[in-house]
Amino acid sequence: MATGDTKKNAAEAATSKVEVLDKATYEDDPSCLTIVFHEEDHTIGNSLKHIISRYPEVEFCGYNVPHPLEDKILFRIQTKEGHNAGDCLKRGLKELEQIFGAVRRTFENRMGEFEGKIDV
Amino acid sequence: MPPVDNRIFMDHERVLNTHDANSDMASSSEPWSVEKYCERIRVEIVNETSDGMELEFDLIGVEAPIANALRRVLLAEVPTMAIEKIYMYQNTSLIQDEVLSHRLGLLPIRVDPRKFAFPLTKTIGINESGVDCDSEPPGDPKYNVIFELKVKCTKNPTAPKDATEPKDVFINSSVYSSEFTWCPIGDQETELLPHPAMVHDDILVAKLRPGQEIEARCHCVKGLGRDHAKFSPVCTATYRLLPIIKIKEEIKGEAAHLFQKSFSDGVIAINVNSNGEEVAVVQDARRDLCSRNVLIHEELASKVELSRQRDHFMFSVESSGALRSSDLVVEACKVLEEKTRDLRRLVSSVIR
Repeated sequence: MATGDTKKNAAEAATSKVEVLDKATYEDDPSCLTIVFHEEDHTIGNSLKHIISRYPEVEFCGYNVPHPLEDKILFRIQTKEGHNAGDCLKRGLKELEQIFGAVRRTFENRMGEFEGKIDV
Repeated sequence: MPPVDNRIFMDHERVLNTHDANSDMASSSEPWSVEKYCERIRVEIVNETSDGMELEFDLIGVEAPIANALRRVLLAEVPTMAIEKIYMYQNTSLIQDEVLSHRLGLLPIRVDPRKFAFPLTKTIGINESGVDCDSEPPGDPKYNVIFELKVKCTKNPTAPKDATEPKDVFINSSVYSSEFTWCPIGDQETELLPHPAMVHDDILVAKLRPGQEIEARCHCVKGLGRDHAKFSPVCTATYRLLPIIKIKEEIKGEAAHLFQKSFSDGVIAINVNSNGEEVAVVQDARRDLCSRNVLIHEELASKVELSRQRDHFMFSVESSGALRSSDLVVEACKVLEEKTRDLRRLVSSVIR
């Protein structure tokens, strides 16, 4: 019972930021997913779309800012039959994290070299 | 020279093949692998000013959505500290309370935002009489930096008889940002080194005349540029693609000088060849601002091919003073890493 409650609380906290649009349809057919990211914009929308649309199992991936005064984006993934759109989204987020991690490490290395050169 | 499909060609009045083959067409030539993608990312530091506030670097091997995410985060999602609440005890100057407050909010402050936490509530509520507080709160060393502004304008008794300029006749006729004094709270005196201060000492805040005074205590909080531009850590953060100029046919003599003048300074050099003729050569394509002026000269247009390298982003970052530009870039990457990590966790919790 207690674990069920904490799970519910975590889900409730998440809904303020992330929300599945038309959850019943997704549960019925996991190849289509539309998810709402609150307080997000083109920054994450476009870069995530860019990564996910390169996956071979993805048929369609796109995002949309419904209204400029509403601080949210809708993110849609449609996969080929037998694939789970939610898994694609999670993979996309993970790989995006890896990419920016790589950018950061490369930048830090080059910056270190650059500063070393100046000191000499 | 990069392969043709990695270049964007610039015509007289249009730019060709701007589409992104990898994401718009979903027809990439090779299978996607994030490891290979990460290995191909390159960074070259081009230039940094001695104070570290302006930085130019090249990001190579990524597409526009990735470079653009970095730029957008630098502008709007790397936190800084800015004046948010002003407790105004006296303002008899000409400038109204709310206008003065807005001006104060925009002053850049030199303090490391990484040593602070975001405020716990986004907005502070008001009571039934429409007031958000009755007295100034003491401030929390984990969330706030407090500055005090206390100036009064008086007549200058030692002014020469024939002086007419306000700065000679009066004392404190102009209030500059150097008038702010930092008021440490808690253990900030020892914890915050170097001590918080205004980035610039010479910003004109208000003008006073004898008898007028301003007394205010300014509480800074940590915030994001997407909430208010005063929190933006950069003056500008931009990128542009690396220009490539290919001379297809030798350009000699008078035409070489016309060719040189068609580009930005330093892009084209003129060499003298073994026959004593002047020949135009590309010296530094990255200095070109891509005006494409050369294409209006018909005799030159056919001899040159103008393009830009699709995956070579020349970034320029100018910090507004709180952190060095190189630190801002690192922070921006961390913001994005953290954001994607958090979203992944949240997504996992809402779907199954």
